Amino acid sequence: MKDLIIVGAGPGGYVAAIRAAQLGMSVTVVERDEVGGVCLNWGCIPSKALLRNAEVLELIHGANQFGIQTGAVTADFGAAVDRSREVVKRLTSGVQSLLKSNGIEVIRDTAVLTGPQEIHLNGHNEHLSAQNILLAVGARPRSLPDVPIVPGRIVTSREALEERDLPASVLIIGGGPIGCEFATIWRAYGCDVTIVDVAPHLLPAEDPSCSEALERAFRQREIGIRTATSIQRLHPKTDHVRVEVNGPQGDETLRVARVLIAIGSQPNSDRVAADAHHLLDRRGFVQTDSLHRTEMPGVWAIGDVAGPLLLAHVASEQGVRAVETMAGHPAPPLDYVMMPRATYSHPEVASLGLTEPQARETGRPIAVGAFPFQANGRALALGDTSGFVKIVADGDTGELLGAHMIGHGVSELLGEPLLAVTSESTLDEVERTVHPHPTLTEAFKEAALMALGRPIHLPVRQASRR
Amino acid sequence: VASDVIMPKMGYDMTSGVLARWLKHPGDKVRRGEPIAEVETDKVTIEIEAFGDGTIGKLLVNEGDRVPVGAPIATLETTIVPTHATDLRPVGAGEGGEAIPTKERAGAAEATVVSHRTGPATTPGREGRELARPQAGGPMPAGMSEPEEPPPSGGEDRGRIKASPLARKLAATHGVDLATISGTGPSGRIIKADIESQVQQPEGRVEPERRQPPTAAAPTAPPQPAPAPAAAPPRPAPTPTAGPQRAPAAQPATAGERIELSRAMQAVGRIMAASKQSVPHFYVTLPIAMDDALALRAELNAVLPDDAKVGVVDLIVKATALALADTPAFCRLYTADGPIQAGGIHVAVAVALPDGAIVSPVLRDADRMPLTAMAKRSRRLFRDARDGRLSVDAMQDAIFTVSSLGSVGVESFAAIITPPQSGVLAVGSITPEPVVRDGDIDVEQRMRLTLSADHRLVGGVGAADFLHKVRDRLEAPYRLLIDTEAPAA
Repeated sequence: MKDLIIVGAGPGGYVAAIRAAQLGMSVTVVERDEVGGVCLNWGCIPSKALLRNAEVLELIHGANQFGIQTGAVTADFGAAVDRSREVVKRLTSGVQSLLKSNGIEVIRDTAVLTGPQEIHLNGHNEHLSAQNILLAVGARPRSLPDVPIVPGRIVTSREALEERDLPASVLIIGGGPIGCEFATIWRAYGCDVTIVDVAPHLLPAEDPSCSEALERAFRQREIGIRTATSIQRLHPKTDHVRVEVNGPQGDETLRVARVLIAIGSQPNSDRVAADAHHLLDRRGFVQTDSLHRTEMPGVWAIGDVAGPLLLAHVASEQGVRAVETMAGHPAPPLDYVMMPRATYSHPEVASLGLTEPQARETGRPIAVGAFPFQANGRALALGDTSGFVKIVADGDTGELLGAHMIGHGVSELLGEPLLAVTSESTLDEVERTVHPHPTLTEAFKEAALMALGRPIHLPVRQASRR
Repeated sequence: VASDVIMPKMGYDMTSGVLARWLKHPGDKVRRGEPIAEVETDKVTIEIEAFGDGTIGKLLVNEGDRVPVGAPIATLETTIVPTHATDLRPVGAGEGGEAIPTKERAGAAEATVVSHRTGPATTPGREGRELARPQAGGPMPAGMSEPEEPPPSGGEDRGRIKASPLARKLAATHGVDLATISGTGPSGRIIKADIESQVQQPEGRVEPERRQPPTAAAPTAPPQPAPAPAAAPPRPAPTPTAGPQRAPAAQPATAGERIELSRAMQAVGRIMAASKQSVPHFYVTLPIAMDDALALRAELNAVLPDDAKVGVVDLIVKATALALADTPAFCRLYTADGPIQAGGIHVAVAVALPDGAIVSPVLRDADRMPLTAMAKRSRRLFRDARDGRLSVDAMQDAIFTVSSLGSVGVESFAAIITPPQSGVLAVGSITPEPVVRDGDIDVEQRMRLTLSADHRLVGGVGAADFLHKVRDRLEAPYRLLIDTEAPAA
């Protein structure tokens, strides 16, 4: 009997498998498709490749600003999709060799949980048992109720990442990270893009200042934003989709070439837990405790199939902690509030921790600093000064409660506040840390200085905001 | 996996404990860290925690049973395989930098089997913290100097304490001494949660009228409600009138009936008897004019926040600590192996508990700690003591004790030394007395200090010299604010 069977080889499952192998367990991974899961194959990675294409294209279109004349530019969207698939292929083969080098067996099949220590392999039609079973089967894009996917017309991110042709116009349902990223991609390639969301703002989970800044940047690029608007009905036609919406201006009918549904994910628990429905909550997520154990002894669940935060890096960390707990080394439960979040739109939005309103709601004294990239030398030199870095800290101790950033490449600035949170560094340590000049990271230090009431690179009256 | 929950060893002189109360019953589900039972030792009542998630199997002893250390008291069916014993590192053996003397480490490590709170690889140093056993103390407190095991002292690790910047800040804000805390972060690092649990636990239990430690009361202050054991004669040992620990008022006993003393009082009695029989005590008394000290205290308290106000005892402890730092003979401990050098000026302050028991929280490095920080710290320690929440770290390594009966109107008394300490200072009340000064009769606020010293460590002249040093600082009290001699060590 193996020590561990992991069902699903996404960023949760394959990372857990490697960690388990490091801890001396014998591990079998069951994967129905390519290793890497949605993240590598149909999510984070291919979309980042397309976003890079969009960025290059936008740079070329804006070359005039740098005194560079380009003449007519043609961009082949199909080639961008091909490049993204190439990136995916290199990454998944990398993961395959990682698993192999760690001595992890990978079985290509689907599985059903049949007992505390047993699964059934559907394709092989055989049972497999192990001391522990880790469910990491992930989630898939959710569609609207009673709205079937129509290739080329009504799609989710899964289909959109494969379609090589470019629609003339797109309606994106959902102003979350996925919707905002596709808006960025398609707009760069010249599509007519509109985002619809029932929430009052794009990225409603982010600090309102970031959401508003993103909306301004999108509007400047003529991306249509219809917030506080709901979808009434979708009518797919042969060459377009008619969409009835209801918003602040009342009922309206829009006509677009394609609709992208980006309203979230649904767990893939229906397949693996077909015989174990009591393990699921109302929405189909596998219920676990803070150490990722389900009610069934020896059965664990991590990642998008378990929640609560459907992010690749959260799944990986959950996986590591789950197997460490199996090995008798339980780590403290994850603090989901402090998990990093990033949207790779243009401009990027990146954050962790409490938003400013959330921090104020706690009633504790708080200090806020928000430093604009307009006053950052590197941003000026880059020719992209949109956005800011905002820090929310405890007013007494300087403990970092949240960081919220929008601008060019800000997802790469998350490392510093994250390490500060993990190591319990305060604003004082950020202040005492010498930041390289000129870099965008200086904006983080200046925001910390603002929260302390003493920024160097801002005129005095602007700095007094608290 | 079924595992035994054993009676932990919570101090190196503990041989058994009384299972006071079961908090869980067979079949109950418990989570790791959840209390299973209350165990009463000589001085404290401590909760035994589950080492892992699971279900209580059998209870192997009854409430009230005395159980030897290491004997199983219950079985726990765990859902997680408990870590192998070999994975458990002794407390402080990692990089924790905790200043826990080796003897205590050994004792605490045995307790890890019982309270295994977090992953062993990441948190050496946490285990056994709540389990550790406070050192007894009192006006003539308990010293547990069993011949074969000299108490921990001296040679302690003064190295860097690992603590996060935020934890350091919070510790400073709340007057928490990092040396008294065990970290639960990576490699025993002290993190925010450790400070918060230290700060928050006792506070929820404070009753308003207890906010002022009775030992710190000025003569002008109203009498403290806390019943110090000796409103009575210069015999400061706890009187047997107090009932058993934690018991409600006992029925009046009939003549000739055998009286059961609380374990805490039994322990104090045992240690005091041993001390009085083996340590050659001698006593020196000196009157001290406290007018200037009281004036300074009034001026300080006019500007200090409530939680930092300075008590009379704080002034005396500070003066004592500075005098100790200036008197090498009193910075020695008389152990079973003879005199050894102390590791720092750690001064215990005897606190009488409502039930008659006495504990002595320790102000570490009292010579170096600023007066106001010390006042804050002692306030917290007294409160913890009263709530029965003093950690063992807060009660060990004392080299000298200050004991006051001033607040209960005692003019002077002589106290018994807690081995292996070098002495104990007994503090009487401050009263206006007539003095002859330049041929005139004047009124002075006078207080008598009586030093009990161990004649093996110091002679009469040395004792008098030490008391003069205490007096000089109390009569010129600005020295308490600026005077920070390096320890004589």
